[in-house]
Amino acid sequence: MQAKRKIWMMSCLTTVLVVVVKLSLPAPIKNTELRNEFWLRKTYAQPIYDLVVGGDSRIYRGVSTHAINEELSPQLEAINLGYSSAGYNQEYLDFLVGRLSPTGNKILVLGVSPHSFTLEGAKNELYHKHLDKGSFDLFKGLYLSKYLKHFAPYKASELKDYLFNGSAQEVYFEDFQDDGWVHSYRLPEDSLTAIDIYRKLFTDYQVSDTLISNFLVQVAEIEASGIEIVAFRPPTFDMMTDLENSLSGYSESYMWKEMELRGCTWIDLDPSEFHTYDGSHLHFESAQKLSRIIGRQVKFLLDSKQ
Amino acid sequence: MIFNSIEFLLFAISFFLLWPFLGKRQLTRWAFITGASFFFYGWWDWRFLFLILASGLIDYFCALAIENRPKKRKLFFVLSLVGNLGALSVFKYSKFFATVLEDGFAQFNYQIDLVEKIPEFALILPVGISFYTFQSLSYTIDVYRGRLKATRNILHFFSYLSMFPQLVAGPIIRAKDFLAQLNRYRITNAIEKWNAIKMIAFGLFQKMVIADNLSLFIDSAFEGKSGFDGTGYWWLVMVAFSFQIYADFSGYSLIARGLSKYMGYHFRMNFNHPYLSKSLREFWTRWHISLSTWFRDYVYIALGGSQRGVVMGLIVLAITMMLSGLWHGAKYTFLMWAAIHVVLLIFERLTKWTRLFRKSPLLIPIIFIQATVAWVYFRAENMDQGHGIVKKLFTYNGSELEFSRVYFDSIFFLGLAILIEVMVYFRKNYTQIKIWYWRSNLDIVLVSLAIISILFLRGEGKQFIYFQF
Repeated sequence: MQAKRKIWMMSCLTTVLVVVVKLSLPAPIKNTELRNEFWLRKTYAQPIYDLVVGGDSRIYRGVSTHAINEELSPQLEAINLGYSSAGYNQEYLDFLVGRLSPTGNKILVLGVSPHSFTLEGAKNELYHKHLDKGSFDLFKGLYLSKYLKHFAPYKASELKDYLFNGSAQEVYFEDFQDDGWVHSYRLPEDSLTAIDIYRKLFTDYQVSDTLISNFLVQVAEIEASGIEIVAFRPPTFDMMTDLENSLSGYSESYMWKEMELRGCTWIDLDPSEFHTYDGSHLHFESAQKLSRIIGRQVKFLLDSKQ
Repeated sequence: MIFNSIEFLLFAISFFLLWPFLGKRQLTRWAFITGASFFFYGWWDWRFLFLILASGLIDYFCALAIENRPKKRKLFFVLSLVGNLGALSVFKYSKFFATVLEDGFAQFNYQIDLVEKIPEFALILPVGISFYTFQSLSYTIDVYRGRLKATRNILHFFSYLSMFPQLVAGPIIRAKDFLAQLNRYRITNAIEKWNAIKMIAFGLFQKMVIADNLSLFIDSAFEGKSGFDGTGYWWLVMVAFSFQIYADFSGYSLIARGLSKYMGYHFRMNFNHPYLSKSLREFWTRWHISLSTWFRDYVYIALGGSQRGVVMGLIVLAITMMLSGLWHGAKYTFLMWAAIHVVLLIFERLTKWTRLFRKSPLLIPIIFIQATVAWVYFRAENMDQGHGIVKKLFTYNGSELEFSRVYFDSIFFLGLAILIEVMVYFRKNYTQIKIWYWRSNLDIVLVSLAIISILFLRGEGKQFIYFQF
């Protein structure tokens, strides 16, 4: 066969195969392009928001600002700016405050977990990873990902499950939402998955008193600048809460008292009312439930201001 | 800019759109290749350009001086050697040599602190320095030996030295093969284009589908994150690494060859299914062929090769292999990798044991196992880790198979890589299959499948392993 004809036949066959794959298979469970775009949109968010949510992975998986807005009327411009292993230091708090619109309602919602006061958390590695990206990576993440996401790769095990079982059997489902929330669940669920990781983590790193005292100073300054802070400890599986209370050096009652002293609103949550899929992160239904609780608190705050 | 990236795709599209217009006239062609290649290389870090410029300028002028001033040709040749090897020593080996000296003095209870005193710039390893340094060196050596006429045009020289498809990870091309090719512009015909597309597709498949999907399995093992430690587990990790490094590097070479073929140039084959070798000697004629032949021509033969008796032949072989180990990196582990090959090659040469079983296909797995065990040190972070893994390979430590469930994806792609090599073996050894392959136009389907796999089964994009060299 002539080489020219081979090139044409190969091009046609490839096109047909691409169409067949796209039509016959569901979207891949993990989409790195979407994920990349998601983090970049957070990192380069503009200062246009009335409400900004900050914290670690328990927050970006646990708080949906769309669900917060379900409790509000009129709705607020809101975004979740949580990052994996985020820690509260001056830089991260400045980043959160800097995304609030100067003319908006100015509400900061902070998920205050023990890990966000460790030195490991204070490195804010994921935030920096995206902040330090080169201009082409930024261009790619912000503008090309909408095309590239259609070619997200599958895992071989995923295809095996589709072929033999009709659907994926082991899934860490993550749907990256435009409000900065990751709609998450895991199959099969195991509330003990994260326990060992955190046990090791808090053996290596303790909550830093310096980070907590600096945080409280900054919280007072933020409140003084007219920004309302709503804070809470993200709910986790009971064993995880007990482990963190005993190993991390974190005291929820102290944090609650000190933040209220500085003018913040503390939401007291009962962890047993929420459901985690790995012991640490909320199942998406619980995340929406938590978000609506936050929404009601924000509504109360806005009403009392008026 | 790596081949498996969007930026390279945009770069390559722009380059090949302009190539028919800018490639026709000699001077614009050389300027275009040089400019595009510098852009490609500078994408990593524009400061790296100074080094390749300096290295190239030294060799360009030294080669001219060698020709024009015959009485001082040795002086200019030495200057070229010092310039190239000096740059390589500073940027690649300074820390290693400092550590060796520190360790040496420590043996006599003298504590010296050399590593701390190395200037910061010398600790940065410019991408692909070993490749273009060797390429540049071969030019002056060939001019010095009178086998090549020095080029008068600096753009001609730099388009050879910096040619972007092979600049950072080879194949190491020779000036005497390539300068003449650069003199002409060829309109590639459909067959060449088809072959180029095949090479690029198969190369990207090797890198993005095979090598990148194996990396999680291997990296988690070497970083101690997997939690598995059985004998079977470590054998599988090492077999996976053998295929990862092969697919990674062979993939790069294939893409480089395909890109140059699309431009109308020809690079020699750099990998020829090395894991189908029936002796270690044969392995080295199939693995990283451009480097093996470089060392053969400029070190092994230059030192006398096997012409000076058996013992000298073995000594020269050992020197050549150890230098090849050092070329890969300034670490004891690379020297250990080379030393294992030296021992096995000497044993093979003295006993000629592989010749006894020449026809047996069983030689293939035996040679593969030898290469795989040597790879332990190539991949290990340090000697202790290497020793530990070798011990685990050869002492029974349980037969748990749970890891195969956890790392199903990587193991699937390892199986695919092995299957491809088995198919190549049958195609090479059974004429009927070979004829059927060509008659059936199976290559159309294979290229399509390779592209579909690249789109939908690629692993997490990683830098090519050989960039670090």
